[in-house]
Amino acid sequence: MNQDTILVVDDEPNIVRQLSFVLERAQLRVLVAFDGEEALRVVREARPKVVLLDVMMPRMNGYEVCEAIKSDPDLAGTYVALLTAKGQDSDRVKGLEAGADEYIVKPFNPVEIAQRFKELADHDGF
Amino acid sequence: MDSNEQQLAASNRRTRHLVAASPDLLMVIDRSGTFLEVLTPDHPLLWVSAEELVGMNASDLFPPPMAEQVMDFVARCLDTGEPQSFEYGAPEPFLADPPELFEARLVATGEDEVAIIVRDVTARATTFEALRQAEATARDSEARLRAILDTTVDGIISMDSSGVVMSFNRSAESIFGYGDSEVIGQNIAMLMPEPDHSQHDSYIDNYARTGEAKIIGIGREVSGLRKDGSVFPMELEVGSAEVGRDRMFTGIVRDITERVEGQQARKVAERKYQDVFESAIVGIYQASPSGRYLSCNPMMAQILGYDSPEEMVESVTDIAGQVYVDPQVRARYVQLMEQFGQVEAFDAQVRRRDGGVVWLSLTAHSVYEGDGEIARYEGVARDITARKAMELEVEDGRKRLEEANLELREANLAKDAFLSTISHELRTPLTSVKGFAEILQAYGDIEEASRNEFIGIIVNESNRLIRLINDLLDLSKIEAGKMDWEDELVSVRGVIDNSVASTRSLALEKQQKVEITTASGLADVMADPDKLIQVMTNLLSNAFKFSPDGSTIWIEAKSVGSELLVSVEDQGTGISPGDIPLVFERFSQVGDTLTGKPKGTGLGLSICKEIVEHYGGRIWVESEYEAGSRFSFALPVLTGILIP
Repeated sequence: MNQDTILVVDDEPNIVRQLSFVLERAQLRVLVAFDGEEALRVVREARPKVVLLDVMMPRMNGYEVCEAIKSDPDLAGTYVALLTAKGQDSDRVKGLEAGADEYIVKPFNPVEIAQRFKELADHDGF
Repeated sequence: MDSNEQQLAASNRRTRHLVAASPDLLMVIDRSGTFLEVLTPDHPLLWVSAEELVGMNASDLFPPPMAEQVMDFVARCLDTGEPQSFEYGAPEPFLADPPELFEARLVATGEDEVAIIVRDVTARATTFEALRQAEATARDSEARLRAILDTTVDGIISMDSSGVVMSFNRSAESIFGYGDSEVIGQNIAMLMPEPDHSQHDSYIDNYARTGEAKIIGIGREVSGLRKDGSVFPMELEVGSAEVGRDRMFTGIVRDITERVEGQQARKVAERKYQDVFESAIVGIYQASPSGRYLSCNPMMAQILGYDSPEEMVESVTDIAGQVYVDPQVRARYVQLMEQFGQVEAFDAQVRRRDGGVVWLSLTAHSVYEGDGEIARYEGVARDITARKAMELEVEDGRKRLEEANLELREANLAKDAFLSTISHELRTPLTSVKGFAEILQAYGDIEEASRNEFIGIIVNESNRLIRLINDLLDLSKIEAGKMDWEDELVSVRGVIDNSVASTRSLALEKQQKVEITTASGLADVMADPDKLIQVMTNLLSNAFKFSPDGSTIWIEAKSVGSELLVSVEDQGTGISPGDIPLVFERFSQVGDTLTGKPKGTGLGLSICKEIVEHYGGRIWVESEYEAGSRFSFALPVLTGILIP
């Protein structure tokens, strides 16, 4: 597992772009994917420590990707943070049921997210 | 021996033989009681032999009281010279089966000798006893008869053919209040009120003469007259018998006051029930299992539309077929009656005589014959048509409510999904705007190219937000009926030109061409020009967006029948057949997954549809996947209206 690698998944290029930008500035290795299937492929190949995963995506949605990661013993220990523009409680419950470790509601502050994940990586907190 | 002696001897011999053959026991005894001779030595009454008896004394033979009695009679016979006789019972010990009674006759045959003649008279004694008993029996039966007559509850009065009372028993006394002595010897008519009083004699005469009974021989109810003058109902039965040459009549009289009163009470009760039956506000009926009404009350007839119960009973010959709307329902009723002997609140739809249908609620039971077969059904029927109608209405209302509830739930789910989608659609561009703004704010050392890129994104995404908000407002205005429609006569060509001009920048960007074909003499349409431009612009920008660089977009407008038809055709990516039905759905954004391009709001085509349909038109799409699409809309054209 690549301790300093983080995968950003969103079908909205602007969001991938801004997260990539801030995380790279924080000296993390950033991988990107634009849909669920691509995301799962990258996770299996590159074994990132963290996945920032959008929920509403074409093809496999975020919940399904999260469940696939969490139910795969080879991927044990992967930290999944769901990114969602759906702010309702029922969506949050669905996310936690899918096994997500964190639930981040859009719009978020990308600068704060970069700082937090940098600190976690530095302190081996993942 | 001389001849006299010989003759005497012969005579003696004959006498002796005759005597010896006598049925009576003949003996000779002297005053001392000693038996001198037994003349009938073979007589069965002898219990000792004749030889033994001769020389024995009566005191040796009989117990003392009897021996004395015998001696007394012997002495009396010798002293008086008169024959004596007495009876006596058999002495002990005697013959094995001794006669019960003897008669002894004594006749003096010399100075000191008496002949005793003993005869068995048991048979005579038995006859006497029988006579005595017969007499006693006769006395008993007369007493018994009298007792019966006196204790019987019926009054028994006998009279002769002229009506004179001959006997009057105790019950007759208590029934009429007379003592027997007051009535016996009087005419029977005193016991009868008018008019029987005057006619009675003639009844009897008539019967005696002709044998024709007015009152005689047949029990019947007549009136009786008591001593106190009161009249009461009685049952009278008269018999007659020949007694000697006379004819005797016997009347048996029973006071039936209580019975008559009981009957009257029952009649009153029956009348009451009859009243209930007649005036009941429910139908009451009797029906046969085979399907006829046996009887019913007026209400029942009224419910089924007949003028009278009689008419109904006569007219209905097949209840299942004539009365029940569904004969199977009557079959079920019959089955229940057979199985359980009753039904309760059995609801059935029945047809009135006039064909009208009413609902009946039946409560009935089976009435059985002696052999356990069902003789008939008896039941009560209530007209529950109104209640049934109400129930149906309530049921209908309940169903409608359920449907409304379901719709509401679905609408709620749809609303939730819609809100969730709006939230997503609004937050996504906002995330870009806010995120890049925060990046620019946080990092002062971002190189020029990135800065410009980020600012560009912020501007684009802000515009997307504005479009989205406008579209949302438009949609909600249309849905809420608050959209302003400023209709005027609009030239379609004008609309097309206006739209092409406003999307020129998009066309230039990808070097795309637009070819417009409009038929000549197109009629104007009555509409809000801004709304039509909005529809046209939407279709055009989609065409530009999904078509390759340098491709051509064709716009065509023509009249087809009473409609104006406008179409926009491109050579773009097309739409997969499965997605076609979703094209006009909100936020569906079919195939709009190309990255790096300005996204639509997902509401444009929904708004187009709302606008076209507002004007009574239609909008649709034909598409060949990866070859191109043609979006068309048709609007009805106003004809025959003169525009000033």
